[in-house]
Amino acid sequence: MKKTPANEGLRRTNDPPFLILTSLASGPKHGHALAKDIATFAGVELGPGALYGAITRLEERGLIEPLDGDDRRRPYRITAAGSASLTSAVADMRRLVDVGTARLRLATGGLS
Amino acid sequence: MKRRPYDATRLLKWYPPSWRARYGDEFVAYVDDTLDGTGPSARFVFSIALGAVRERGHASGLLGEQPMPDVQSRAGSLLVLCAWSVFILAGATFSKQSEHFARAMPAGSSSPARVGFEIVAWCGALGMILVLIGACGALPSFVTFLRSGGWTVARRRVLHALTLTVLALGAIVPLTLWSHHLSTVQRNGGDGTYSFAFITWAIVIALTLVSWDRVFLQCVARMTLSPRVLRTETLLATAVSLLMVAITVGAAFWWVDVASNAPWFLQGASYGSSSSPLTPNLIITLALMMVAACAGAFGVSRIVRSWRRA
Repeated sequence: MKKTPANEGLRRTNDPPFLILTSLASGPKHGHALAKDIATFAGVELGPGALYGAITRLEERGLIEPLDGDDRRRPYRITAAGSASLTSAVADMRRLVDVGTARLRLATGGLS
Repeated sequence: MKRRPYDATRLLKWYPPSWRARYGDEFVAYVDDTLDGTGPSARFVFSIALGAVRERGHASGLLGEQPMPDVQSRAGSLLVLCAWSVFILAGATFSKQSEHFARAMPAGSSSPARVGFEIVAWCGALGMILVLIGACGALPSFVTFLRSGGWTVARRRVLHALTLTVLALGAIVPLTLWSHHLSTVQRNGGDGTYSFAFITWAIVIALTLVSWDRVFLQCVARMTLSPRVLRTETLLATAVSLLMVAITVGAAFWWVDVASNAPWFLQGASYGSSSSPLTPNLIITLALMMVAACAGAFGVSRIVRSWRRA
């Protein structure tokens, strides 16, 4: 399967950019809210370096954008390009999940 | 007693200035929210340190795809230059360690040690010539940079580097005169005072190289280089990187052959005595050469990637 620039770097489920895009898909969030949301839905605790490194790269690539925040906290929202990238990454994963599920059924005679 | 809130701005200092200007305030707010008045764990601090190193790599053009391929190739060339500085140090140590080795080897043979030594010597000289050619090529851009206000930016670091250079060069004559009054054994660790003075001088030399590297990094990042000059510099950097690999291989050849035929020479022991060929000086020298050669290869990989993108 050819890797497209749109989903580059979004291959693994614990990949910070993928997790951040998934979190922002439900609405804008600032750094701390993002980290808490990701810990809740994925069980992954992103360190501050990984979180803000991913935010920096995602913003550079135009996949997320900052909003005017209150105080020092700046929320981010997913852009149209970010949504397309996430859709592509999720579709890739779904294909893998489908293949994995089918092959597991074949090997075990059905999943419980 | 109430605990003082943790000052997250201290951690922010590790990040490059451009990143701090853009993300600093919100990052400190995020750290404050996360820590909620408690101190950071070692894992937390490590994550920030790693993130800061990564951002510095991105800011310098050494990591990630840069919007301008020129930034990437310039960063790769500078990394090769820094690696070459390490080679100068390692080469000086190797030169001291291999002094008069031919007398210890079996006469009349063209041993691998001699071949290895020749490789180190010739590649080292060629590398110095290439670095000088690169410096001459960048000189007009450097002068333009200084004339357009660059001196104000670089002055402090240049003066610091010059002071260290004067110190390092000024110490050569008294050290040489002193060494001529000592025996070989005294020169190689037998005289504690001389050894201390020599190591201090070596540290000053290392600091001098580091400070000139800092000057080059600061200036070259701000200089305007024409595509032709940049192309020449990257080609020279690639050649220097290949020479570093050759020097490392040559030094390893030399070590293996001397270790097989005259291990006592490596320890400075008397002829024919039983000695281990694993001397700390040579281990450190070869390790430095390997690390620098790898750094140079990484720099070249950045250059090649930028050529592909251009």
